[in-house]
Amino acid sequence: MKPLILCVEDDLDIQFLLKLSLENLGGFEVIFASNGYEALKLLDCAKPNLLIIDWMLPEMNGAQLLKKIREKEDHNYIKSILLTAKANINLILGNDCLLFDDVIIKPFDPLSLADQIKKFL
Amino acid sequence: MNSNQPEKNSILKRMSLVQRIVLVVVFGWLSLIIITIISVHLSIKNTVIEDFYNSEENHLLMIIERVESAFEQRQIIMQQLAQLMLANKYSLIDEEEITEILKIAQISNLFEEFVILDTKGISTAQYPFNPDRVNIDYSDRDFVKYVIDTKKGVISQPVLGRVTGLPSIFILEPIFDIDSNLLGIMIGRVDLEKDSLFHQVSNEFIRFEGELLILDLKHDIFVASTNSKYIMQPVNVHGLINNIVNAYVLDDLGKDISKDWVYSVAHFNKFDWIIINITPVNKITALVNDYVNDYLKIILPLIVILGFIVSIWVYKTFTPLRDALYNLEYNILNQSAFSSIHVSSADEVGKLLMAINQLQLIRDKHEKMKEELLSNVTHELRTPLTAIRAAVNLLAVDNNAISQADQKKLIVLSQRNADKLLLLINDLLDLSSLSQGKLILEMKEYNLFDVVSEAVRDIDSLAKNAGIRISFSPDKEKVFVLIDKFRFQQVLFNLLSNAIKFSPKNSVITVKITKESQNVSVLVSDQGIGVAEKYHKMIFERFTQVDSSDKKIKSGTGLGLAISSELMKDMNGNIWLKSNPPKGSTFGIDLPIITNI
Repeated sequence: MKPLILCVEDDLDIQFLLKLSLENLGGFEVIFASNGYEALKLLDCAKPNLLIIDWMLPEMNGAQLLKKIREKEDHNYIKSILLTAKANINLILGNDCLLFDDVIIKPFDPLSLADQIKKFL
Repeated sequence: MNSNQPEKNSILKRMSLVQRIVLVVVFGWLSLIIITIISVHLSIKNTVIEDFYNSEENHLLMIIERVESAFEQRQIIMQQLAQLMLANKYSLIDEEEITEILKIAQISNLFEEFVILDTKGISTAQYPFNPDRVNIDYSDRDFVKYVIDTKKGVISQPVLGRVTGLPSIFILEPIFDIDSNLLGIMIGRVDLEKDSLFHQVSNEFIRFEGELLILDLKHDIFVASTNSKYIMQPVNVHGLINNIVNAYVLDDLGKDISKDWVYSVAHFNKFDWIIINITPVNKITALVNDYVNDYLKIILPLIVILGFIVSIWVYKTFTPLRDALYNLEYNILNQSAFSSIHVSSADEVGKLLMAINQLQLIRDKHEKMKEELLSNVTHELRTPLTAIRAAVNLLAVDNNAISQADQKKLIVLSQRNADKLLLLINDLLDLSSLSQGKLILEMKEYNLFDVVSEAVRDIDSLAKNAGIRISFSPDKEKVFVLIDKFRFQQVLFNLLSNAIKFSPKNSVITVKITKESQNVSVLVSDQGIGVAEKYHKMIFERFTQVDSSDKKIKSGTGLGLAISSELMKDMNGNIWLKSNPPKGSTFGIDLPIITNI
């Protein structure tokens, strides 16, 4: 069974690039949500092995979404990666970024993204 | 010469304002003190000397009157005594009787001695008895001769008594019989040294430690003096007296001040005497100094205390200002976080401090906004760049994993994001030029309807993609405005794309042109959620986004409206917002109508 990744990213172009990078090049299965609510809805039916969450999302930001996800019992242990363009992560995001298991800084290299996340799967 | 000047100036300039003010206050106070001392000194001195003169002059006149009336009195007594000497109509009483009368007369102490002379000037009787004075011939005395010759009473000049050798003044009265024949001469002796009259007089002057002199000008001798050794001395004892006397005789002065003495002079009426009062000036100045010192002992401490209080008060008034300025300087230099200056009063200083606090707040706010903008802008710039880079990298890979169709999508994606990046950068450049006043507008006259139609047409595809319809019906009537067409369409684009962004699918955006007498307005109305009243003004400010948390703003930098607002201002127009959430918003652009075509 191919590992399932849930990507939460509202920029459609980035979604497309993630799709190419993870599905076509990485061989994973990927589902997308454009905002936090969509993501939570998807989690009702799907059981992804990994979460990739963008920081800048409408309505609620990446950290808030992750906290909400962690509240759900079955999704407590899913690994998560933060995707963000912010340079000084610690200063701007504060301790919230520690919630994530890893951080990937945009622009990401689509060719190596799959390898980077392999360790979580 | 020039090199010295800046040095001198800079010492003063290097001192702080507070120090200079305190210095001025101290100088002012010191000057005040000095002026007070000097003026008090001068005025009191003048007053005291003036008063001294006046009182002395009066004093001298009073003395003259007393002395003269005393002599008058003595003359009258002598006349009365003379009459008592008549035994019967033609002869003198006998010696015993004379002695009795004289004894009684002497009790009054007005005369030291009495002598009776006969018609030839030889002494016949006397009281008190002095054996040396028996049968002495006084006829050589000029005043005796005078009485014998003129048969009138006379007061002698100061002379030394023939028998006693003492300085005396004699009062002579002729003794007549019934037929006015001279029977003899009555003489009373006034002792100049012992006489209580002059004593009294001179005692009064001792308090000033000055000198009182009575001079006989006719005979050039001292009549009386506070220092009795001068009596009967010829008048050339010291130069000052001579000068006074000479000046007086020449009618030069009645009073004057030399630098060492104050003197007053007055002339007797009955005698050819003058009375001089001489007081050393230092005695008077000593008095003046006493007055001044008493006065200053009270005033000076008061002035000094007051000076301290004023200085402290000035210092206290300016210290908060100075502290505030240091605070501000420190903050600005170090660009450190804002720390509010404590304001303790509502006066000008307090207002200044509050204004400084406000400035700091605003500055801080702007700094924060700039930082936010910068981070937002870099984020916005990075996103399309990320996409382009990733897309191009993927295309560069010789990989079967990506289909031709997907490859085409990647190319389109790159193009789209490149355009987006370009737009963004242009926006930033525009704003930068606008804020520096460097944006050049090409203002020409256009028919507003044409310009708006074009813009609506151009944005049609974007609207269709978002499922939104734009409604605009141009008028046949032409309305001319003076605008830069490119920039004006930029503003329209901004409003229309905003409307599209914030409108729900299948809604309508209405574009309308309304005309008033001198202005025309373009209205863009959407059916989105609208903008709350409190944000209406803020929305046109640069760097402001209506919601600036870390949630995604619908792709944009918040610069569009700021740029539009500046552009419209430069085109002599205006941009405004009317919105009642949740019923959508209407943005309006006003322009003046050009009529003279």
